[in-house]
Amino acid sequence: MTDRRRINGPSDGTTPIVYAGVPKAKQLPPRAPDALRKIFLKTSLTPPATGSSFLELPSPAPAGTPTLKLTASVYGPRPLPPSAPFSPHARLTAELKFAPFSTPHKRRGYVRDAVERDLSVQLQNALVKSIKTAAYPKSGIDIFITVLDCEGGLDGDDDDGVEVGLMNVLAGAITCASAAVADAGIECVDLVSGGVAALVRRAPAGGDAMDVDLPAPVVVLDPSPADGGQVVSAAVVGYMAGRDEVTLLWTKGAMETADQGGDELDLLMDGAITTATAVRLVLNEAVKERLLLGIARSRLKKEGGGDVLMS
Amino acid sequence: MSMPEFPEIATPGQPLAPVASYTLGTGVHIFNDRICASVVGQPSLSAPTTKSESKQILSVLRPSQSGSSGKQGDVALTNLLPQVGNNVLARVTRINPRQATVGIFVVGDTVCNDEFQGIIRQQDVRATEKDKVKIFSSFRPGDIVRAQVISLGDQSNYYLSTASNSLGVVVAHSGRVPLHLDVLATFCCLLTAL
Repeated sequence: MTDRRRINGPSDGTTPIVYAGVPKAKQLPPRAPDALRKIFLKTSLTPPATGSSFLELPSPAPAGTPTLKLTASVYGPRPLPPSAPFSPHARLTAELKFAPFSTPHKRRGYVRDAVERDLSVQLQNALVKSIKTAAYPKSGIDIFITVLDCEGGLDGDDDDGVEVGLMNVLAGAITCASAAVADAGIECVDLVSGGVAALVRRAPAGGDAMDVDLPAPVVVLDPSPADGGQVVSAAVVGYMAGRDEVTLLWTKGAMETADQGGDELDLLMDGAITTATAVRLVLNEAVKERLLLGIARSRLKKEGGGDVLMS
Repeated sequence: MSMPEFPEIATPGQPLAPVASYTLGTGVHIFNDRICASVVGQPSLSAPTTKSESKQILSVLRPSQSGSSGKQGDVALTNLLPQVGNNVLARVTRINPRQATVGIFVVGDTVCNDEFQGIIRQQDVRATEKDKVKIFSSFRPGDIVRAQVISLGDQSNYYLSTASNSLGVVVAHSGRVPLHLDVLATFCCLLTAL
């Protein structure tokens, strides 16, 4: 006799659903160690925000290859909540969040975790030196970064060397946030761009990776976790190219400093700064783009006697 | 109008001119003895404000024409916060015998994105007979007040004053006629302001 009080399962049983496997990310075509990936950066894409930007790396990305996608939105300067103490400067808060779908194979939670908190603080430190906070007393500037896609995941350090995914996220976030701050019209002394460099040991072609005499690691600019090779150490900088100032430095892995008789730290920093300087050129063009468009449009309006292209 | 020597659009940190050549306007700062841009915008020169000053003023302005960017209200980006001396429009939110709390929604000529809280204290309502001022007969919640910022104030409030002929309640909705008349009697300048 069937139980009428509950919903019974089918009497004849079912087979478990078989999902198609997640396709493995394709390997990117190899790059020269000093070749940078192309960046897509566009501003003013989030209508309610005072300023916003979107960054994609690399662009154009071949289908199926891992990409880094970030959005930044800036709100403010807006009044602080009544509970906040008096502050003669603007209070900058940066919040970095990974979208739940940003890492393949693993869903991320909605609650802020330690990684996000750490990156938020680093991002805030990198940006606060560039913004003229004294010009905005008693107000708050809030920066929100959402990571939509982060290059095939952040699996943490494994035996294969240090992991550069998080560093790429931070460098991208710095660039993206700075573009959004400039788009918001907030006064800043310079734009900050992020750059990553790593010492990568690549297995010789055809040779065994576990060979006795390993090849010397080379400095790779803008390394991608999908590139392959063993990353010995890596550095990310936040760099203000206009004033030649480093606002943030984060290193991972083992490296020799100058007082240990090596120059690996210097090599990494120089590499990261070279990357950041190149990124700055993209950043400059991206923040100009909207205004140039506006100027061209208003010229068209003057010449065309009211006939305007619809946007 | 941008001068030929300047880039069409300047980006933050971009050096524009030596310090000695111009007076600083808005959107610029000094770094390494050079005037640098602080915002993304068009460099522009304007005539000196005083006769004694011979140098032109160099500013970097964000274009505020409609259609300059995809969003509306772009003009608000030049002057975002109330500053001491600014004329503002504010809406009275609550009153007590000592002060009226208001929300500032227009600073100068620009509409703010966010409302800033301000207070008008009893002694700042008018210039004369300050001790006889009654807040209850001067303001009512919902009134629109033209006022001047006199101080950045404390943590949450800007301090405002209406002690001038050109300042005071400019829009008031009456529940009872006598109170409305009282407001009119206190601020006769209303008739010209409206």
